[in-house]
Amino acid sequence: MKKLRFSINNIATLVVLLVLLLVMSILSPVFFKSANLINVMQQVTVNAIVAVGMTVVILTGGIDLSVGSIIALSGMIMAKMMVEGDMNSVAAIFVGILIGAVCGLINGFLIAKCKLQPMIATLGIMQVARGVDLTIAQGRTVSGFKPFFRKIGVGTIPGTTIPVQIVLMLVIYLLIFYLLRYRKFGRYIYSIGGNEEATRLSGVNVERYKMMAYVLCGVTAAIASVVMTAKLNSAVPTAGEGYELDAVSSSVIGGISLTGGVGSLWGTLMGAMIIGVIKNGLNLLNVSSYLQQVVTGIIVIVAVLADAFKTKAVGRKKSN
Amino acid sequence: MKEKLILEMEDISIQFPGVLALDHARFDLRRGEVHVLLGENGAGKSTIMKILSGINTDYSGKVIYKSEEIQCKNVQEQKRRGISMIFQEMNLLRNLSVAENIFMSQRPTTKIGNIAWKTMMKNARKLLDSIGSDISEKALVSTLSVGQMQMVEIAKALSYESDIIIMDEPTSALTEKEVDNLFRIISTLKEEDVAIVYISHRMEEIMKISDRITIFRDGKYIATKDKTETTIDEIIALMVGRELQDYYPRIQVKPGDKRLEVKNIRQGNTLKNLSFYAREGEITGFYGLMGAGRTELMRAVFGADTIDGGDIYVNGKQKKIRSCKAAKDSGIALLTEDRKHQGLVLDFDLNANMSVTNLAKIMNAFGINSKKENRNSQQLVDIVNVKTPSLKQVVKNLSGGNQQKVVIAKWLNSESSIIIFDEPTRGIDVGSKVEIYKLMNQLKKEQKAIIMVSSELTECMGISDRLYIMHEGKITGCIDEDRIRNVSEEEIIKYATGSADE
Amino acid sequence: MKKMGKGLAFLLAVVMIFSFSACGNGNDQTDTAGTTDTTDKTNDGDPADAKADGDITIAFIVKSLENQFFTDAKEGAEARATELGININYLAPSGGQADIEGEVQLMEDSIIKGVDAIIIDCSDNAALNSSIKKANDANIPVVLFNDTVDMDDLDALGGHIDSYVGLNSVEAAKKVGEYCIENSEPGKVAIIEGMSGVVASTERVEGFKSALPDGFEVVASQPADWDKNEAYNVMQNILTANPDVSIVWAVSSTMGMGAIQAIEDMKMQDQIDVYDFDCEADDVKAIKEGKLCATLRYPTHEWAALALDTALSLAKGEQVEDAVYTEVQVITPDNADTLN
Repeated sequence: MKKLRFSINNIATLVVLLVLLLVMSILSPVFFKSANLINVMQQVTVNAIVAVGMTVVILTGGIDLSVGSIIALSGMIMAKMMVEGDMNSVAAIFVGILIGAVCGLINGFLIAKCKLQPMIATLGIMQVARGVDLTIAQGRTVSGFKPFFRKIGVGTIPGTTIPVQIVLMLVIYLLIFYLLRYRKFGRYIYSIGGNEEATRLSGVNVERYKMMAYVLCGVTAAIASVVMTAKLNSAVPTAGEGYELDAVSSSVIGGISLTGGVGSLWGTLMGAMIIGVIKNGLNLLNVSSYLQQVVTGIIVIVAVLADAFKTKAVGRKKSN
Repeated sequence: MKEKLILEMEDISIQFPGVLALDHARFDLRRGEVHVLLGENGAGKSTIMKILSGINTDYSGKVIYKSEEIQCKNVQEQKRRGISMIFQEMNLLRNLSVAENIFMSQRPTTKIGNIAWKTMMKNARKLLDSIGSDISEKALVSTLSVGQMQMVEIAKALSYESDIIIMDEPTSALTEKEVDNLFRIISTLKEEDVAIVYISHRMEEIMKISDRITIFRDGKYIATKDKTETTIDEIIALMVGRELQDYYPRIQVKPGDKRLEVKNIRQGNTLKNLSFYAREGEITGFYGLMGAGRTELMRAVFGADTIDGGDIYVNGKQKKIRSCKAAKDSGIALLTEDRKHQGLVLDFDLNANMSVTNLAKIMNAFGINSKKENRNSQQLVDIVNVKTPSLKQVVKNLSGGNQQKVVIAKWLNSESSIIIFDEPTRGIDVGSKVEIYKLMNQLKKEQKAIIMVSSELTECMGISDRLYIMHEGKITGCIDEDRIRNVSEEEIIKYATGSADE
Repeated sequence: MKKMGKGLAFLLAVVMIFSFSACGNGNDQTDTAGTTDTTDKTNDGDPADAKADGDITIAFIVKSLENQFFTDAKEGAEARATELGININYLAPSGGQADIEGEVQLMEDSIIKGVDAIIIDCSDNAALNSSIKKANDANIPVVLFNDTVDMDDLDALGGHIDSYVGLNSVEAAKKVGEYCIENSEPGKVAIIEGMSGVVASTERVEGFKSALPDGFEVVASQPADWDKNEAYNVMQNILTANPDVSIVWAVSSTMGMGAIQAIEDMKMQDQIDVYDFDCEADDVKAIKEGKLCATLRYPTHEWAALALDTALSLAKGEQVEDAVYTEVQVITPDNADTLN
C-alpha cells in the first residue's frame, strides 16, 4: 500500500518542490527572504486546508466539487452571525463549521446511500450552496469582525513571527495524517478506495465511512473559510469560486490517485506548496497574465500525466 | 513414431529475475494428439508454451518444428508458422464483431486496400461452421458467453491454419455443455491432424481428453505418460514429487451444535424458500450446476445481497443480517467466488489485505501498531502457508493459490466461527488444493462450522461431511453424514439436474 | 493556480445541464409591483405603438443576481418601470453567471410570451446569438445591456441588435487615471487585473494606463481572477517584489478591497494610493475612511433606467442610437458624501 511515509511518489514531489524553490530563488532576489516565505505559506494555507478534506474524499475514490460553495456559505453565515447577530466569535466559528459539516453530510448521504456519482452529487450541492449563499448575501459583503476573530487571520504566535493560520494548517495536517495512518478510519478509507466492493464484503460499513469522508471535507472547507474570512476581514458572496480545482490539483500533484486508495496526505501539502510557490513566483516576476494561463494549463496537464505515469510505473515496478 | 512428431523442444532454459523458470526442459508433440501439460503453479508449463508461441523470446535450447530447427522470435511469426495459443484471459476486442476478431491481424483486403467485409464474413462463417459453432459471425463479442468467446478464439487459431493449438486452462470458466462442445471440437481438430497442447488442472478432464500427459515440476521436465498406462494418483505423485496419501484428505471430527441455521430464505426468482443448517466441526458442502443459486444463497446469508424473506439463526439466536458488517459481527465469514476482485484489494500488500477484518487486534492505545501488525500477519501467513517474499508484497503478484490463501488468512484473522468457502479451489494447482483441504480440516478440528460451495463433484463428495444439492434456487437433495461415504455420483447428479423424484 | 474561468465554467454548465435537465426552471422572476398581468400577445409585424403604456411588457434579462450590480440594476429598472407605468420582467437564470443555458431559456420564454422588447446582459458573447435572431424574427427589439456579443457571429446568423446600452470601460477607466495623476505623485504603479483575456478587465487596465504620462511607471500587472483572496495574495507578492510601489489600480471593487487589506496588513497604507472600479458600498466606506482614493461609479440604477427607456422607445417604434453610454462618475473623498 502506497501510504508509506516516503514512497517514490512523495520523493518525486519533494524534488519538484525543492527544484522550484531553487529556481525561484535564482530568478527573483526577494523570493527567499523570510518575509516572502512566510507570505507563501500564508497564501498556501486556505487551499491547503481545503485540500485535506478533498484528499480524504479522493482517497475513497470520490471527489467534492462543492467545497468552494461551502467556503462561501459557511463564511457568509458566520459573518452575518457575528456582525448582525452579535454572536461571539467562537460560537460563530462553531456555526460555520457546523454548516460545513451539514453540507458534507448531505453530500455523503447522496453519494453513499443514494449511490449518486460523486461528481454529479457534489456539483448539485455546489449550485445549491452557492444559491443559498447568494440569497443570504443579497449581493453585499459583510465585514466588521471582532479582534479575536481577526486574529485567526492575521495573528502570530506570541513571541514569533509565525502566523497562527500556518500553525492551524499544520495541526490539521498532523491530526488527519494521524487518523489516516493510525486509526481504523484511515485503514478503511484507503481500503474503500482500493476496492470498495471487496472492502464491503470484508465486513466494513462502507457507507458510514464514505459519509464521514464527505463530512470531513465539508468541515475542512469551513475551517478554510474561517481563516480566509478572518484574513480578509469580510465575507464576500462570490468567495471560493473555483477553489475546488486548486484542492484537487494539490492532491493530484501530491500523488493522490483520482481512482482512490493511493497517496499520502503530506504529498497533498507539498502539492499545495508547489502551486503556491508557482503563483507567488509568477507575481514576483510579473509574468504576463496571458503567459500565466499557459503555465496554468501546463501544470494541470503535467499533474494529470504524472498521475498516469506514477500509476503505470508503480504497476510496472510491482510486477517484478 | 518419429514421423508423426510435429514438434520437439530440447534443453529449453529461461531465466526470469530471481528464478530459473525452465531448467533444461523438454517437450514433444505428435500430429493429431491431445497432449496435456501438467504441473503445479510455477512448474513452467505456461512458460514453455509462451516460448513456443513467441512471447518469451530470451530462451536457450533447440526447437524443432516440422523437422526444421526454428527460432521463436515473435508471436506473429509463430502464428504464421501455424502455432497459436489461446489464453485463459482471452484476447478479444469486445467492441468488435466475431469476424473482425477472428481476422484481427490479417484482414482480407480488396485490391485498393480496403477491408473486404463480405469475404471476411464469409470466411469467418466457414471457420465457425468447421468447428460446429452456431455463433453469428456478425455478433459483437461483448454479447457472447465465455464459452462462446472460446469458440471464437479457436476459430481465430484455425484462421491461421494452425497445426499446433495451445489451450491454457480452457475449461475453467465453461459450463458443462460448453465443455462437451469444446471436447467435440477438439476431436474434430484431431481428425484433421491438428496437435493440441492442453494445460489444465482438472483431473477428470485430463483423463478424458488426453492422449499423453507430460508433467513438469519446478521448471524441470519430469515424465511423459500415455493416458492409458497411468492413473490419477500416479500423475499427482509425479506432479508434487511425493506420495499423496489421500487426494481428498478426510478427517473425522464429532460434529457439534448447529452454528448456523437458515429458514425459508426467499429472494426474487433466485432463491425459493431454502432452509439448511451447518454444524460446528463439520464441512457442509453445497453442490450444484451453474445457475443453481448457491453463490446467491451464501451472499444472502452473509448480508451481501438483500432477501425478500427468511430467518437466520446463529448459535440458536435469531440475527438480523442486513449488511456484511452485521454478518461478520455475528461470526460469519464469506470467501467469495471471485477472489481477485471481491476478496482482495489487488494493489495492496498482504498486511493491508489481511488486517482489515480485525484491526482491533493490531492496535494499541496510540493506534495501529506496525510491529503488532507484522507479527499478526506473519502468524497468519505461517498458518495458511502463503509463499511470498515479504508481507509487503502486493497481492496482485501472487499466484492464484497463494491469493486464495491470503483470503483465507484474512478471514482466519476475523476469528469467525462460521466460514463459507465459495469455490475455494477453482483454478488452483493440486498442491495448493490439498493445502486448502488440510486447512479446512484444521478449522473443523477447531469446532468451526465450514460451508463449502463447489462445482467439482469429486471434491464435494470427497471433503464434505454433509452435502446439500441445489437446483434452480431450491435445495433438491441433502446427503447426511451416514450416507456421504456411499452415495453415488449418479444420485447427486440427479438432484443437481432436478430430475430426482422428491 | 489560476481558476479556469469561462472555459471551465461553461463545461461545468454543460455537465449541470445534463444532470439537472429534469429539474426544470427554477428561474428568478420578478414582476413589477402592481402591474403583474402580462397578457399573451401574438406578435404581428407592428410594434406595440397602438398599445397603451400600461400594456407594454419589457423583459430585462441579466446574467445572475450574484452581486450588487445586478440587484442595483433591478431596483433601478423596476423603479423606472413604475414611473413609466409599464410592465417589466426582471429575470436571471437560477444557476448564476455560469448557467448560460438558463439564460437562453429565459430569453426564449420571453420571446414566446411575446414581450414588447428584450433587454439582455449576455453571459456569453456567442451563445445567446441564435436567441437574439429569434427575437429579431419575432419583431421584438433587442437591447444589449453591459456586455457585448460577437457581432460577426451574430451577423453570420442573420441577426442584429437594436441598441447597446453600456459602459465605455476604457473611457471610464481613463477618467480614474486622469484623477489619479492629479491626485497622486508620480511613482511606481501596480495593476491588479481581473481574469486574463476578459474584455472587461483588459479595457479597464488599458483605459487607466492610457491616462498615465511618463513618471508613472507600471512595474507590475497581475491577474487576481476577480477574487478578493487572490487579490490579497497578489498584492502581497507585488509589494514584496516592488516595495516602492506608490499607486495601485485594481479593476474591480472586490479586488480593490482585497488589495487594501493586504496593504494594511503590511502597514504600507501611508505610502500607497489605491484606486479601483465599481463603486460598491465597501468602496464608499473605504473612501470615507481614507483607505481608497477613488473609484468609478457607473450609476447602476440610472443605467438600468436608461436601458429601459431605450427599450421602450424601440417598442414604440421610435429610433434610437446604436450605442448609448451611461454616465460615469469618479467618486472621490470630495463627492463621496453625496452617496450613502
